Amino acid sequence: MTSTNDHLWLGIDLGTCNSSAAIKRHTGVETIRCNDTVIPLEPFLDNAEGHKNFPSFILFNDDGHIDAIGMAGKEQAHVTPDRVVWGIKRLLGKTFTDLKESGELDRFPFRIRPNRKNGQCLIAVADQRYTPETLCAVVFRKIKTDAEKQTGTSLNSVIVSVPAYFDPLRVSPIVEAARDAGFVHVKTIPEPVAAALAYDIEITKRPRKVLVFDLGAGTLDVTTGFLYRDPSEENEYRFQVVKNTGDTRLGGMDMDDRLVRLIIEKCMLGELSKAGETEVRRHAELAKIRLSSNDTCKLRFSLQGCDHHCTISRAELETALKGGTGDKDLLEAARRQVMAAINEADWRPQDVERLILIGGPTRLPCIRDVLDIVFHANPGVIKQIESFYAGDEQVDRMDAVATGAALSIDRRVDDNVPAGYGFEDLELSNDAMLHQPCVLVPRDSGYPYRSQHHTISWTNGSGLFEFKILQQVPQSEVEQFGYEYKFVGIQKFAVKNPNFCMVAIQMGYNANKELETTFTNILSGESVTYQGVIQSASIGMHYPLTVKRPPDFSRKSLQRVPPGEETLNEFVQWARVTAGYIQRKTDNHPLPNMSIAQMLDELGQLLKNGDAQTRFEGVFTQLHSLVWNANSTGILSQDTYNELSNHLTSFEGQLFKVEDANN
Amino acid sequence: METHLATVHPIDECAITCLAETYLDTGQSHRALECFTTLIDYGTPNPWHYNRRATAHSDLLEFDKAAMDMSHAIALDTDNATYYWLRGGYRLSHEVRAHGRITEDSKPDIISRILHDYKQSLQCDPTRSAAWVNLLEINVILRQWDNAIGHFGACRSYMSRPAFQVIRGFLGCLALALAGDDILPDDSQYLDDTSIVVSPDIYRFGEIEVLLNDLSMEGYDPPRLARAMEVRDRFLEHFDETPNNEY
Repeated sequence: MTSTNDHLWLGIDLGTCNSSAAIKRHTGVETIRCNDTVIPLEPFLDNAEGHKNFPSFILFNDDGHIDAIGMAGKEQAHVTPDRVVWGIKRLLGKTFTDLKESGELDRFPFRIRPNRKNGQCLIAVADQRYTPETLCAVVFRKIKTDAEKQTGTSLNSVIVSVPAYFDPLRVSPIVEAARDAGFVHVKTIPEPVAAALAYDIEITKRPRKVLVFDLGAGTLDVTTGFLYRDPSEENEYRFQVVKNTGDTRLGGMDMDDRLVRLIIEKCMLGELSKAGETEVRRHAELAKIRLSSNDTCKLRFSLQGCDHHCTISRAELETALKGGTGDKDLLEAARRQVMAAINEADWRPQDVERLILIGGPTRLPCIRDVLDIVFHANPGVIKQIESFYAGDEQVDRMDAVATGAALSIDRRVDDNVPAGYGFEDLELSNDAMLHQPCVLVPRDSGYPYRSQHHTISWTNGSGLFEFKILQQVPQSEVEQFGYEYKFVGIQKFAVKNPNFCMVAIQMGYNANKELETTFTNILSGESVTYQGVIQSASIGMHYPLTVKRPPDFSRKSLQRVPPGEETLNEFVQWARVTAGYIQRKTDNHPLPNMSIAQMLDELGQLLKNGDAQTRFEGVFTQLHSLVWNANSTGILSQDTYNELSNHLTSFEGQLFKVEDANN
Repeated sequence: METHLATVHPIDECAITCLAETYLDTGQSHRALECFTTLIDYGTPNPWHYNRRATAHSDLLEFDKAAMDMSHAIALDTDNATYYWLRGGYRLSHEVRAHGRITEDSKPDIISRILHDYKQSLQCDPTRSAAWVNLLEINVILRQWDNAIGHFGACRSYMSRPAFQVIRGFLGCLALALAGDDILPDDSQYLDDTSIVVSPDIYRFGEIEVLLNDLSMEGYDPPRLARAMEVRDRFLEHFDETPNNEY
């Protein structure tokens, strides 16, 4: 029987193609080994030879159910590409149309469908559908199980590394997935900070200009930023992202593709079956790893009973990576991304004080050549590159981020969010409506963070407020996208009494980097806090928006038509049933909600009197607010809310009829 | 209608606007057109006048002129979500009227302009139900089932009225049926609620009817098509009048 240890934190580096994990114990940091039944091919026997412990590959069976996680999935990835899912990290928190328009979906050989519930992605295998969060939780669960087996302790605390450029809306699904996997305490850490801690880079109070070059199996991410120690908090480390660039189609797997072509050409293999191609791919990966330390590599393998052998040199590898006519030059693409990150940060290569290299493919000498070219005028960084390629670092670079994540628990690590958050505010004048962003959380704010309460100057007669939540995109992305603000969703707030309200908004990040928005009616004290947003669309917006009002040509004099007695009786009866239903739901809800209870009491008073019919306007408003608030606080499910809301709308039409007095 | 344009002073914009609006209300589109042209030619530049003249043009089925007027309106008020949405609608109507239908083979620049208008409208107001519905519909017409399902999911929170939820449900379920996906109760929740009435004024059914006919003629997967026809029939139950199946 294992015991639960709240003091042991598992550090996880969730990668696009490979993940790793480490745990800090009294004796030092211990890497978690994958407890896999599949024995990897020769070069992968040892972690030091180039693979992380947990390939983030999930193998499904013919029915679409999960068969295996890890190396077994990786082995099958090229045999049955439609049944092996990888790269989940890139799908988290993004809408289907966003991914399709950016071309990222073309990268994946398995089927990705839109999620009809929220417009995000679903991974389709046979008849089964999985959300990226579910599969991410599967990978976390596998790591958790293996870590518990290795340590003999039940682990319920995790610190997950996330790319520094992930905004709070993309971090939330990772945190959710970790919770689904059974972790109770979840923290996140930016990957560059984790790497800096692992390599024991001296972190000073003076911000140092750092460039993180993260070349993984699937993608290249280049981040420029400032790494420093908060002067007020001795143990608080911060990484402020200045610019992030990257290529989602540049990684170890793309290099393998080129090597496969080279091997096929050298061995004159012609058309290959899927199984044959897999075999060649294994050897291509082997060649890539061997060529990191040797000038040449001899390959010997058999395909369909025939023996093949060839020798590949570093020069040939380099030529393959550069590609032929019409091919993308992978090395030049990597160089361009590094230069883009430096230029767009408004730095020069000489300004970089520290280069951090992450990922297996960074070992390749041709990658070193790329970095040497970029930093040739920067002796400090050249020295770091020399030391790095001489193998001086104490930590395995494949596990560096996970190790850093595990180490970070003793130190308070914090980073800044390059994006800002706010809502769309409204200003009304006689002939126009001015929509403008009101940024409550400025760019580059650290987390946790709480903004001041911002009181809105306008009100809504119905007491129902709908706020458009906006992201102020990082400064470096303004030119790239052509807009400064992005609509990310709406949040609703209803007040009991629209004549007695003054709404204030407060936004910020919680300790997990998740966005939190609090709405308060200052006059009555009603308040609701949301985590994240109902994110189902991400649309770039230009501000300010001024919408001119149409000319006033009031020809009609409209007047109210009182509702019929039958309608009133029907409405009041329905209101009583609905109030009773919400009362029962509130009573059975695990968390008491005083604001809802108060609203129910007030509605009860209105309905109890014999003159409820004559006070139908008050009953309607009160009921409307109650239904909205009950939904906002989770007492009513979305379906029930929709049903009640529809009923209210149909009653609204009958209760508040108008007609033209001139007719 | 005893008052006529000639009896009103040409610079009395308010009076001409009232008159023009009354003409529009009473279906005298030619006279409304005349009034709005006077306002545009002699009055203060106002995007609203172009917008209303476009309505008059569209009543006369002159959709190309209507789209042009909306471009003028947009030039004067670049932030108005309605103007982009209307221009997209007029462009779509013009294309359908001129070529009988819009298909995946229609000129890509025309389709991209229509899509651009709807997206632009959403940039100004992302919660605009009608623009979402149009975006969804055009993807269905272009047989981009996955895109349509994506939009169906994305716009769930932004339908302002139950009638829009029904139209959204109809188009989404149609895309799901034609893509061969199951339709879950949650997807067809509003479509199944026949107490919600959809007015023929807010949704024109013609283009989808043409698509279903085309698919039927082409021999598109019969079980999928049969489910799509079921969805169509369920949708028709929401109309208390004959649905508008004109283009």
